[in-house]
Amino acid sequence: MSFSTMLSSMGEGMLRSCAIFILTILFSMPLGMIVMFLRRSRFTIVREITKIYIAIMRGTPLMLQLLMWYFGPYYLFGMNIRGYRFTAILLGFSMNYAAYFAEIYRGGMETIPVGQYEAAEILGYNKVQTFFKIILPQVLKAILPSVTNEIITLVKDTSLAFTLAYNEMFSIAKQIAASQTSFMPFVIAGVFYFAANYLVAFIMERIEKAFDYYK
Amino acid sequence: MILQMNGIKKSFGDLEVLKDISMHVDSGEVVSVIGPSGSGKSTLLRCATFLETIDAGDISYMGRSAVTTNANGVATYVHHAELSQIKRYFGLVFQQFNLFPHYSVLKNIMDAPVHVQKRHKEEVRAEAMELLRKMNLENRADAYPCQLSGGQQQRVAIARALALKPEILFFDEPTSALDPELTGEVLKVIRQLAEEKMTMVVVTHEMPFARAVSNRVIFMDKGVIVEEGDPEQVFGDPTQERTIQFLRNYQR
Amino acid sequence: MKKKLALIMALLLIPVSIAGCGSSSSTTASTEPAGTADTSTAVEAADTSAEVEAAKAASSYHFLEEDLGVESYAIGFRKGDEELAETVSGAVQALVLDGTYDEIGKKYPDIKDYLCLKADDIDPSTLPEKGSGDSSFTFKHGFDLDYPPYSFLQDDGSVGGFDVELCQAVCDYLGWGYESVPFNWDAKDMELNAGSCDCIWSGFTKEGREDDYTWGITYSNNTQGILVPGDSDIKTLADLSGKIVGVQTATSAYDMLQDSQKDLADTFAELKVYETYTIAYNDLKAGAIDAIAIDMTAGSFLITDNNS
Repeated sequence: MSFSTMLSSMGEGMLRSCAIFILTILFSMPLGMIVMFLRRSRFTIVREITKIYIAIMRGTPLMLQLLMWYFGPYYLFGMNIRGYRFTAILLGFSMNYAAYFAEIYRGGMETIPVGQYEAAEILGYNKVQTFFKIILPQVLKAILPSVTNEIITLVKDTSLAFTLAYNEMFSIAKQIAASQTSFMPFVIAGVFYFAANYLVAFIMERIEKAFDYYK
Repeated sequence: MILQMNGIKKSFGDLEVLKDISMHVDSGEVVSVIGPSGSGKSTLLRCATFLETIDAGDISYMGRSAVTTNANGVATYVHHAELSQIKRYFGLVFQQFNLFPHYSVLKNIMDAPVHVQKRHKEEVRAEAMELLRKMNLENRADAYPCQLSGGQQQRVAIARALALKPEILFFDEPTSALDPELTGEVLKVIRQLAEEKMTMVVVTHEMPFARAVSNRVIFMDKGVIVEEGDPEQVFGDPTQERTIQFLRNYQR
Repeated sequence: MKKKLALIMALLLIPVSIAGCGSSSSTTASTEPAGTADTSTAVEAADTSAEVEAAKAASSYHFLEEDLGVESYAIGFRKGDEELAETVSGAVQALVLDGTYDEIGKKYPDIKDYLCLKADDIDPSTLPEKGSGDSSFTFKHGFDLDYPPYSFLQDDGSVGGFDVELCQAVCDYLGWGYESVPFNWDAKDMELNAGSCDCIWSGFTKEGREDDYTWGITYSNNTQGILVPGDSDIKTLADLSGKIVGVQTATSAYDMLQDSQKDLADTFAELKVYETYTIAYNDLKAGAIDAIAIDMTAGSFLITDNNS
C-alpha cells in the first residue's frame, strides 16, 4: 500500500473524527451552561441530582458511557437500535463533555466578584442582562485556558468512538497498521492529532488575545 | 422628602446589626454617616439600596413605599415591577468602584442608560461626555478601567451612577480603597456635586470632609444612631459620651 | 450520607450491568450449582412470552453452511529467529507424540476438530529431547488476552486457552521458563520487534503474512464463517447482499473481506468494523446488524459462552 493510498483511506476517518469533534463541541458547550445553572440552582433537589449526574459523567470511563447510551435502550426497553449508532456516540460525548464544561463554567462564575452583580443590580440590569452582558464575558475570559485543555482532550478522545464500531481515523490507522505490518499509519495518526490540536491551540490563543484588552 | 426609613432592623444570624434605625433625607441635602467600623453604617446603606433585605421597618422613596412592616412585624417588599421603578430613584457608589472591567470608560457610563432606561444612544453619549468633562476625565473615554488609577476609576463610577439621573446618590466609603494622595480628587468631585445641590448620603471616615460638606451628620455605633445634627454641633460640641470618645480617637 | 452513597453506587451500576449483560453475567449463570436450577426455572416460567421468545431466538445462532475460506494458525517469530522457531516447532511435535497436544485440545471442544497435527506424520528423530533447552532461558509468549478459546481470561480470572497451555507445555518440555506477555493486538508487531515477546502465538493466521514473520509450525486450522441469528432469512453468502455485517478489526475474517472475499464484501450494505467481537455480538443480539464474519472456533465459543 502506497503512502498516498494510506492517506486517502485515513482521510475519510479524519472527516469522521472531525464530525464527532465539531458536533460534540456544538452540543456540549451550551449544554454545559444549562448543567452549570442546574448545579447552581436554588432548589436543593435539582442541585443534588445535577451533582450526581456530574459525578457519574466524570467518574466513569467515557467508553462505558458510550456502551450505555448505545445498548441501554435495547437492554432496558427492548428498543430497536438500528441506525442509532451515531446518535448514541454524540449523546455519549456531549453528555460527558457537558459535565466537564459545566464544572469549568462554575469555576469561572466563582471568580467573578459579588460587586459585579451588585453594581449591575443597582444600575437596573435584569438577571438575563446581568448574566449575558456583565458576567458571561468575564467568565469566558477566565475559563479560556481550561476550555482549551478540554477541547484538546476531546480531539484525542474521538478515538473512543470506535468502541461503538464507528470507524474514525485512529481505528482505520490500527486496521492498516495490522494488515500492512507497518508503523506508518500511527505516524500519520500522530501528525493528524498534533496538527488538529495545534490548530485548536492557535485559534484559542487568538481568542485569548482578543480578550486581552482588559485585566 | 426623598428617602424615609423607619424602624429598620437587620440581623445576620444572631448578630443584630441595625437596631431600630430611623432616618430621612430631604431634597438637596448632604448627609454624612460616620462611626466606627462594625457600627452598621454600611449595612444601613445596603438596606437602603435593597442589596440587603431588612427584617423589619419601612422604606419609601419620593413617597412611594418600597417595604412596609405590618402589625405582626413581618416586613413585606412591594412587587418586583414597582421595586424596579423605585430603584431608579437612587444610585450607589461602591467602596471597590465595581466598574465593569470589559467595558471602556464610556461604555461603563452609557450602557445602563441605553440598555436599561432605553434612552437614545446619541443623547446619552453627549451626556456621558459632559459627565466625563465634569470628572476631568474627558480624554480617558476610550480607556479601560484597568488602565486607570483608583481615583480615576472612582470618578468614572460616580459618572456612571449620575448618568442614570438618580434623585439621590449613596456613597459607601468612596475613598477607603484609595491611596491617600488620590482621595482628594474624589472628594473634590463630591464637594462639587454638593454645590450643585445633588442629594447625597455619604458613609465616610473622612471627618474634615464630612464636617465641611454635609448639611447633617449622623453618628452611628453598635447598630443605633447615637447622635445626629448639624456638622458644627456634632463635631464641635458633641452631646453624647460615645461621640466624644469616637472623635477623640479619630484625631489621634 | 449513607443513603446518598448507596444511590450513587446504584446509578453507577446501571452502565456496568448493561455492559455486563453481553458476556460476563451469562457466564456466571453457567457456573451456578445444579441445586439452584429449580428456582431459576420457576423464574423463567413467570417470564413474559416475549422474553422467552427472545431467549429462544438468541440461543439459536448458527453459521451459514458456506464458509469464507480456510486458514492456518501458526506461531509467528521475529524475522531471522529461525533457530528458535525450529526448536519450538520441534517441541510442539514432540508434544503431539506424547499425547499432550490432544489432551489440551479435549479441554476446548470448540477447537478440537481443527487441530491438524497427527502423530503419524511426525518423524521423531529430528525433534529436540525433553529437557534439552537452556534452563536459564525464559520464553516470552506474546498473545491477545481477548481471543478465546486460544488465549483468554478464564472465569476464575487466570490466563488460559489452548495456545497458552500448549506454549506452557512446550516450555516445560524444553526446561525453559515461561513468561506470559498479553498485549494489545494492534501493537503485536511493535511488541515483537521491540523484544518484549519472543513470538506471536494467539490464533495467529499465517495466510497473507507469509513474508512478514519467520513462521513456526502450523498447529491448527480454522474456517472463517458467517454467524447469523436463528430466525435470520440469510441462508447463503449471496443473501448477505444489502445486509450489515460486523467484523472485528485486525482479524483474519476482516483481512479476508478486504482481500480474497472483497467481491462479497462489496455486496454488503455496510461492513461494520468493531474493536472487539463482544460488542459486535451485542449489536447482533440487539438487531443492529444482520451477521458477523468470524472464525468458527471463536464464533462457536462466543455463542456457547453467551447462550449458556
